[in-house]
Amino acid sequence: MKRALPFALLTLALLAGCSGDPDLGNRFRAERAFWDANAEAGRLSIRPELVSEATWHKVVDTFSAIPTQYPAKGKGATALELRGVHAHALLAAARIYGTLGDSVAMLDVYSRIENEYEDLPLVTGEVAFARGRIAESQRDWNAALGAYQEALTRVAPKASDAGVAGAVIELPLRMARIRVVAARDSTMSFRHQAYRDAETYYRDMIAKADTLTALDARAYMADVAADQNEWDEAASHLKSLETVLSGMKPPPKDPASARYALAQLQLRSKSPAETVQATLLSLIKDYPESPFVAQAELGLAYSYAQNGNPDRALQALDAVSAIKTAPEDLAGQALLLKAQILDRTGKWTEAQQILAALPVDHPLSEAALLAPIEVVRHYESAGDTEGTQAALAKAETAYRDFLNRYPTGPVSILAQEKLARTLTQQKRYDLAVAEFVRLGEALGQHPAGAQYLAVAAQLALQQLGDTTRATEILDRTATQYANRKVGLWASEEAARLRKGSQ
Amino acid sequence: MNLFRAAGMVVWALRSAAACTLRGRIWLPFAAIAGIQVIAFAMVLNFHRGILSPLVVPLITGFAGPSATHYPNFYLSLPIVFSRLSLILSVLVTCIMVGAAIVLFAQAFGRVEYMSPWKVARKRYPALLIATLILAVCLFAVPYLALLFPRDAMLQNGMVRWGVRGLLLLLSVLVQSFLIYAAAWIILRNERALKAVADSFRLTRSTFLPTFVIVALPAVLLYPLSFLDSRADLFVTKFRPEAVAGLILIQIFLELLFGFLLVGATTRIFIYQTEEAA
Repeated sequence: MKRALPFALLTLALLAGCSGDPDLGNRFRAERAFWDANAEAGRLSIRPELVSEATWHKVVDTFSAIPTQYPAKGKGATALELRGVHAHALLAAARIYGTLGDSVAMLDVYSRIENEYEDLPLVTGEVAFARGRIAESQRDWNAALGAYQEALTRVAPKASDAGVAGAVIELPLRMARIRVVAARDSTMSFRHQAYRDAETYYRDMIAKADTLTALDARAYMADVAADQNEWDEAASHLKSLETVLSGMKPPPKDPASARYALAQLQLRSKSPAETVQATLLSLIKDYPESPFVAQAELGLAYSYAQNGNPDRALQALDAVSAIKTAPEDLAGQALLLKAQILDRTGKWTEAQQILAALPVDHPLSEAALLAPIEVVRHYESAGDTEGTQAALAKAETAYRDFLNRYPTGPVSILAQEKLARTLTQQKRYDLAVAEFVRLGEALGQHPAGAQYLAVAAQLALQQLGDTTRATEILDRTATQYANRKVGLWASEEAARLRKGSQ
Repeated sequence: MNLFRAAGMVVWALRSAAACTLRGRIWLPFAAIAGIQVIAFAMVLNFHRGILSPLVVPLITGFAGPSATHYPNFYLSLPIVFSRLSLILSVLVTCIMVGAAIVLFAQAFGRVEYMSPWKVARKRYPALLIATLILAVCLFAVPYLALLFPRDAMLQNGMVRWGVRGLLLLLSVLVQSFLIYAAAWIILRNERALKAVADSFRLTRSTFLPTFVIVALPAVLLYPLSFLDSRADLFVTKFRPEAVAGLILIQIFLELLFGFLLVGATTRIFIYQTEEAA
């Protein structure tokens, strides 16, 4: 009996081993590898400018190796989940290729995902969505429409989802807008036709989707109506959205957001300023605790300032400053507007104090970057050449400080652009060209990058008379945007310059 | 019992237990408990390996739901999975080790020298199992009392949150205090499980303060670790998710030390109250 026990235990263990899910281990390990690679990519993204291309390629290799290192063996639910991890790892690799500006490798990875994971609609839908974004940025409207349609077919919309299921809700509206741009026909009859599909889609969602998604669909219906100049219908959608949200306990979204959107709609429909002001004031009165109060006060300030009422505008701006929880950017914007109003009303000393304090109080706001330029503008309009030069020198120092102090991101790109423009204004074209080139390269495949490179080439040619440098910049643009119209244009221009100089 | 006498009794009981630290034999049951916990923990950590998965995965999904087998969710659920597994192990297996430890301490204090600790513990296993099961059920139920408090108030108000945490800790210490002598009654006085539980209540009532302090001490000292367990999400986001496993290993080691003092001190009080004081 005692001898039989080890055999029985061994048999049980073997049976247990055989009855286990064959993909569970690999799924767990693949998820761990994916998590680690994501953490590494996140760490490197803090200061991407300090990371070499080879390091990025190592991360790409880690992501790309996950499907082969941890293959799926069975065909059950776990295997399907494991294949989902594989596909997401490849998507992450494609994203890094995108940021490195290697669109060919990125599209290769997308094709691999589409071929190997066609049974995962959520992933192939995400690929279609990404392809749509690329095509749209290249103004390839038909390809964009096709890709977006594919994403819509594959992915069911879900407002609460942070991924592609949350993003596809916007697509019918975006597609309608693309149709209008692509057809170059802005007549109302064409618009109605272009927006018909979007209307049907959102009506369907309001009727059938879950509550949150239906609420989002209602907000998009308002946009669809507004795009067709059906202002009353758009307003009625927003009002009913606000009523639904107010009736929910707790509301999934701030009802004040709908009221604020109504004020934006009134601005867009060119309603009288009093109407817009009344809506914003009602928001402040009805939702005093809402985060939208700060935005409403700022909106009021702009409205009063544009309609010749600087005192009330300043009152509204003081109200923004009094809100301690106002977002950094909004608070900065309010101070900048206050300085502009004070300057216009002849109180330059007060304005100057605000502009000097702005980069200290709200260093990461866009307004902080605009403050030095505002000082330059004041001296320029006053015809004070010496003051202008001094202000330009201060602006340059401020932007260089900013770039040294903060990591690369949207605000630092803006700072770099301001620095390049300041150097141009100072007529230090050599340095300005270098800054514009650096800016263009930093933006990778983004269309704005091509614009900055073109400005750099133009400055090199016209201000420095340096044809060789202009040609070099154009060649660089042609390589960076190899498969785009702008790349082709740059290569033709470079050839033309070379021909001219011979 | 007045405060000074209670304090004196706590110090005396802890000193008596600490005096046994150099007796290797007494450590054996505690080392066995820690060994069982470490093996169980290693099995849980390696749930995804072929041979273990059919045995461990049902436990993990049963305790924390199917998402707990994913990375890094597994590490978020690890504290709850392991605490429940430990509770089950304490009922089914480690109660024997506690029983043996009580005999060993009693022998060290000059009592029951004729008893064979492991044999007695095995013989009294059914009663130990029932008494430990009652304790485990009570301890398992305590955290669910938090559901009686409004969720919004707990989320929004730090005072309420910490108040509830403190109350739950107090309740679990009280439950343990009133049931702590049950094993000693079973092992050293050969009582049945339910009578032992009732007598444990009675004994704790007569020695409430020292018993409460001796039980509360390890619970309070281990509380920072238990709190960190409940915030495994912090480890997952700030460090590597695997840090949670390190935290639990530290806990197993500390429980080994505190368990030694707790069993030793309560056995000393039990013997004093039932033999010497009487």
